[in-house]
Amino acid sequence: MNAQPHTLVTPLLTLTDISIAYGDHLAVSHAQMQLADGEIGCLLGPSGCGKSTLLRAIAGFEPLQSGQLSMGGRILATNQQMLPPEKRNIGMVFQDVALFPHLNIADNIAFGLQKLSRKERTARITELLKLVGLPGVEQRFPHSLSGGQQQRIALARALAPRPQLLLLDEPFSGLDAKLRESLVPEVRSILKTLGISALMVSHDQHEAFAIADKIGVMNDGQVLQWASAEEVYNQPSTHFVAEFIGHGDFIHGTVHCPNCVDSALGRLRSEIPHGFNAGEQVEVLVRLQNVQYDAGSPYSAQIQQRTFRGANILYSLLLSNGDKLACLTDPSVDIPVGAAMPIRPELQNLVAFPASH
Amino acid sequence: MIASAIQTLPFRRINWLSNLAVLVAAILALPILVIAAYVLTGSAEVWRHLADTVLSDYVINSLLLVVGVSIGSLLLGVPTAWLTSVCAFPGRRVLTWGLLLPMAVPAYIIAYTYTGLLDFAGPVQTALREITGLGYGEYWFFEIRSIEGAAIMLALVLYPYVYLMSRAAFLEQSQSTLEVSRTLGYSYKQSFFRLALPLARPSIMAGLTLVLMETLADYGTVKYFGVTTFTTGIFRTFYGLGDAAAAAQLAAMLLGFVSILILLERYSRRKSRYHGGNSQGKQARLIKLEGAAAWGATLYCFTPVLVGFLLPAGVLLYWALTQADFTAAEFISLSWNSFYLATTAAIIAVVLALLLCYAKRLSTRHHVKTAVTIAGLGYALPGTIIAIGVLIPLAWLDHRLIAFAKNTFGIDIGLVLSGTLVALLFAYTVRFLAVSLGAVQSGLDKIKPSIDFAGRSLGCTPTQVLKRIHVPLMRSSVLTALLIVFVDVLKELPATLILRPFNFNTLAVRAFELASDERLVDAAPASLMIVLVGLAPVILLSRSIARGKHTI
Repeated sequence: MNAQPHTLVTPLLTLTDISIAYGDHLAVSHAQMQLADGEIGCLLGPSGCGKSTLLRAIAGFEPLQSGQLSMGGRILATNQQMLPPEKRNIGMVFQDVALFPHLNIADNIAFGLQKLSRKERTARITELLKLVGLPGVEQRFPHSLSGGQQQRIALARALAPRPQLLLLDEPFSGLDAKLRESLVPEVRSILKTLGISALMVSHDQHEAFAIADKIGVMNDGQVLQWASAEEVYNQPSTHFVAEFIGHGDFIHGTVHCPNCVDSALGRLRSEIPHGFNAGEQVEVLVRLQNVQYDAGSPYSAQIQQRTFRGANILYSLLLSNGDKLACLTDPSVDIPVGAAMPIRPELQNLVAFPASH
Repeated sequence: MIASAIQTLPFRRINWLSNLAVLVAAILALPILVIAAYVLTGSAEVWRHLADTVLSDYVINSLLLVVGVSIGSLLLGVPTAWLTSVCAFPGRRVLTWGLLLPMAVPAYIIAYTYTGLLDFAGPVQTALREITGLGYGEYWFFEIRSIEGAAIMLALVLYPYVYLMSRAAFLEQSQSTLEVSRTLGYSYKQSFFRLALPLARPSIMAGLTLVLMETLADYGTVKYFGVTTFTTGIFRTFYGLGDAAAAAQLAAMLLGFVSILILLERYSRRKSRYHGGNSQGKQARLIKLEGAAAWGATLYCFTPVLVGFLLPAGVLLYWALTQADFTAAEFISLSWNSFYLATTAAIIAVVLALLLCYAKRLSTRHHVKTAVTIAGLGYALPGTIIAIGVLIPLAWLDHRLIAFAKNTFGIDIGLVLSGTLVALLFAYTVRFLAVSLGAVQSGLDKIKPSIDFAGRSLGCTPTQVLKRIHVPLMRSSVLTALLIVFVDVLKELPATLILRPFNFNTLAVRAFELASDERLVDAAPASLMIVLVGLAPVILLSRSIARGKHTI
């Protein structure tokens, strides 16, 4: 993951306690976050979680029910007033590309460049087409380009007026997997070259990790956590975040001390306190890499399913108390389904949540 | 620092637009409401008189007409649609769009053209008498001026609706559906009757209901042939008995029939969702017809084109060029009347359609959608009904205005609404708004909301988005809408007959009057003009079919 050399830079975009409603339905409730200058953020969540609504509000297409939105010291919107989108200096790339079908590529890119002279405009178009890797397509029309090319043009068009902030609404979801894999890092490098701040919306964790410095995990209208990818993965703030990012399993346990929890896999220890009091019932996050096959371990779990994956074998396991786990082993470890598999937990720090039942 | 640039929330402007849309819809719904109100309040006496004397004739004749036109348009429309979309035979390409040509001919024009050809004094019977030597009453010949004749005339020009809709359905049926039936042991013929036809039935029904709406709305043909139906009855009651209320009650009864058709059409459309759902857009391979079958197909498809368009248009052309007694000055004055009336109506209809469609696009509120639906209902209403529904409230308003002007200013202003083109334009708008709504809406649907957002985020105000994105993108849809309304108004007869100002004639009215006076040949130039202008939307339609879009 990329380090964040500019986290201490002044915030560019600030969302303060923002709520957005459609009639009686609260699409976004009390969202709070800050995007630093030059930073790429990504709102990540399942469909219908309010992430696109929040993005549209930042662009100026949705009024706020409460809260305040500001950028670079300017207030963009409150529940009383909103600056119209065309005055915000925010660029946007849309999921369905939304290139203007009646204009050629050059005119599409030049759409937001009316204030420039003809010469400056031509130069800017050439520069941008080079930047997005499509030089020479000025005279072609959008329908003659492939989906990936159209999305590059849409990016160039949004970047043309040099916006302070670029918003990307699931820009890659219309593309096939292979194209996405190559385009995502490319877009990141373009944005980083220009040093432009961007906020993307995605439902794909890998996409988010590949492009963003900061990730905002959303569910049910709430921004549950706004942090770096590492932090979101290693220190998820809620049960949902832990489950949504990186597919974690949970095992039940009882808190024994501030740094330890008793579970079906014995006493689990943590270097830093887990934050619960002795005697409390908790669920401890266990990722795939936290479970090791160990022939000498006193703990074991029953094998429910065995999937050969070439370089390794994935076992789905059931603990005696009903908790489910997964374990990845060397292909040489070959145990039949139904048998017991000796395992050892390998956790440095414990991420625990109150037991749900 | 942003106080000057900031705007209030954008809701107020949208409210203003949607309120205007609701108002427009309410005004356009007025004629229907007036008719509906008369059903409840009208005088019982004239009604009883009508019921005792002519009402049963109206009902029976209208129903006979409906049955006859149904049979005719199904026989002409469905097999030709099947042949042109599934089979290969000589002339298929030309006939595919050629089969649309009869749409350009209004029913009343084809009716009197064939009358001129086939009646006793016409060239066909004259030739027959000369060859056989028989005299009057000594031989049998088909009487064109009959209910059967009217049904044939209407079917000849209305079958393209069935043709279009069923063709779209046949094209949508995927090749695999038909291939499955072949592997299950069905022949081509069996596949057609047991699979293709049932699958296309909802679309055929939808086309047929359009045909029947037009049939019930027809005035010119039945009047000319002396067949008494609802529409002629409404005219007679209105002018002969001078009873607007009874006319309105007749209109309401006709409205009942039409409503049944509308419900039928809705129902068949609902069902039509089931078919074609998984069509891959793959054009089925054409079945190659050989020998007699191939030429039979050509003949079958060519006959409607010949009888429904080529022959009558040719006869009109011949009459217009050789025999018509029709001065250029009169022709120019009639054309001018028709053209500016149609242009004005088209502009009004398209402007209102733009207003309604944008209100619907910008407002999330449900009642705007309802308003747009109501505004589009007029297309289902026969011109006679709309004319009566327009005349009654406008005449009432006129009398209030006259009284007001007399009392306040002491002047006589006359009938400023019901006696002028205002009434006519109002009626045209009610009747044809649906046409422009359809065209404008389909154009607007192609501009995804994200296109608007993209424009805004690139620094355009809403007005600039309209100017730089919507105007160029909407141009062709708006032109199409203008053209279709223009042509529809030019062809319109019954509402124009009722509502036109005194001594004001259009091409359609004059052609009909001359034909009614048995001056068939003299009516030809005006009729030919209407047919030629009517070709324009047919050409548009055939072009969109050629591009693979089969919408109506």
